[in-house]
Amino acid sequence: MNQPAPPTKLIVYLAFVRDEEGELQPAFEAREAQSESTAKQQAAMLWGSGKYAGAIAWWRSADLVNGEFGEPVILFQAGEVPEME
Amino acid sequence: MDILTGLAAVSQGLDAVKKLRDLEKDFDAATFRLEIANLTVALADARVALAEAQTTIQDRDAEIRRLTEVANNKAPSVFYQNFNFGIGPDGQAMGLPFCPACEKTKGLQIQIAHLMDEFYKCPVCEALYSSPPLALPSNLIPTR
Repeated sequence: MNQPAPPTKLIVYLAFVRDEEGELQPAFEAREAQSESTAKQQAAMLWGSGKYAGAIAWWRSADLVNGEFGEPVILFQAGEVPEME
Repeated sequence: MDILTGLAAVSQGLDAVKKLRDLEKDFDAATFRLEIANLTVALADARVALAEAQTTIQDRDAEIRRLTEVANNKAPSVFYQNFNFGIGPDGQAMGLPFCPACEKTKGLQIQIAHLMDEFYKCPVCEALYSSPPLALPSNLIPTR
């Protein structure tokens, strides 16, 4: 009998900018990182650049077979970031 | 208006108060009104200067927080083919190399990101790199 695939750990980071209406928008598609430390480090650097309104890094478990995702766990957050859904 | 201007305004206000005190002995209504007007202007200037100083302090606090984050999150790196590759706390290479331009100009370790084909781009300074090295050879990863 085949064992079900273990949930994948998705580790990502993202930065935000304010658009012309003042709304927070993702500056680019969320980037996947190889480790939590890399995601945290990159989010901190992006926010530290002063170019973005805010930056966040988080991870969540993902069952890619069934399309189910776990609760996000925030690794780093600074500046202006929208509420996580 | 800067803090020095605000301090000068406060000094003017204090001078006006002193003159008003002196006027108590030899009351002159017109002079009294003039000094009250001077005092009002000086206090208004001081209030504007303090508000602007508060904004300046808040901006600087935010800048200090940003720079502290940068300093606290710098990773050790290995130089390879003109690019620095970050090494994470787990001792493994962090992946794509850092943007050399951001490292040199701002001290930021920003990983370049794939744009298209052989082109990679820095998400901060938007510098373009063609066919950069994409991974650090395992024999160059420092052993712990």
